[in-house]
Amino acid sequence: MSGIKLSPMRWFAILFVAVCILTLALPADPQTLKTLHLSTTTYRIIIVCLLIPEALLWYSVFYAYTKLQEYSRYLDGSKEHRAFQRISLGMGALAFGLVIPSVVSPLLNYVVIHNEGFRATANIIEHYLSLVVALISFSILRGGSQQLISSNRSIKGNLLGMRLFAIFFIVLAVFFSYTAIHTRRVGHNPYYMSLFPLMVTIIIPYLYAWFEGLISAYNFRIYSKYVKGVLYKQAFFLLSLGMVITVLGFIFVQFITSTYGARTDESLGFILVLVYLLLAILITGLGLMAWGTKKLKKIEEV
Amino acid sequence: MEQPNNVYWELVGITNRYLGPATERFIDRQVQNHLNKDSKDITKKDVGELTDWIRGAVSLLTDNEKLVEEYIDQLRHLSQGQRNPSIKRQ
Repeated sequence: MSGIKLSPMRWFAILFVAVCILTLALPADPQTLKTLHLSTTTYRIIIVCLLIPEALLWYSVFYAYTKLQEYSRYLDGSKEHRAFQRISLGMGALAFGLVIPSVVSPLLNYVVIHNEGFRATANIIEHYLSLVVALISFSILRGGSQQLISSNRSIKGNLLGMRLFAIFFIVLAVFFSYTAIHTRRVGHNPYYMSLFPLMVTIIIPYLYAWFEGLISAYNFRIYSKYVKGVLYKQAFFLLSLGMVITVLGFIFVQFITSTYGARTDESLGFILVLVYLLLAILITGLGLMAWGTKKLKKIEEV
Repeated sequence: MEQPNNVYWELVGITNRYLGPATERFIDRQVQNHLNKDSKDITKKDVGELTDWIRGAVSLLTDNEKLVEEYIDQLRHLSQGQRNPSIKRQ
């Protein structure tokens, strides 16, 4: 009996419906309503306002995943095949990894409503879920981008680029570490962990995941810069630009939610504007990736 | 194993400037679909026959007519036995 295989877009539809049902049908957390000074109705309206752009984001990432999957099939037998297979797998991990926490979170909140003692555990689960998504997807993307570089012997690294990358990462690492530890000390400890577990199981793994993501963005940039073929280069440039924007965007989103996510002193309006801005950046990056991949696919079709 | 002939490598060298890593797949596809033979056996006469097909294919990939004509001119030189000195063999 053959297994039922669903296309990525069908998975998107199923997961989106599941998120809508869980988010809107389950009761809101009274603690959240109290913290944000919202009525249940206002809370639901805000949730719907956030669900729409989030749905666009999920659609974009699943669409980019679909296009990468289709393109990698055209490369069967070629030097770049395994690289693009891995890149599309990384994109798939990112796509599912984005939606699944939104399925899990309402369920965890539901448990918290009936058992306040579960709040810390729910919070820790959500943090680790986000972390695992970053670790898996960025590691696979880095592996795929490395294979892509290796498949083309004429491409070499750039020393100045590596130095700039190192400086950027060091600044990111120091700022994130300081902010996470400072938030734990002066806030209400949003991580529900003492210092050592926070450093070893949250800060270091996040930094490693972001390092992998940044390396993959850098590899895409290098490949785009040095690959031969005017028409191929034009198409790949869109894919690589989209990949760089997407990876940096996700890192920034995770940075913000990990360090400032528990703060309640910011106005709701400011938070919503920031969320919309971040979503717009991510959707733009994913759109560019899909566009570039479509152009690369066309080269294999004519 | 039979090695590809010089015409094939010159065709690869010319096309590589435009299609990069997709070059050999593109050439194999064009030769298979329009000439029904192995691309490694391609001759200069075959290149002449393929030129219009390749022009049509590449025109679908870019609106830059100058770039397309530049590519096609190089193919014509190859089919007429005029070697482009800047082409390096793979």
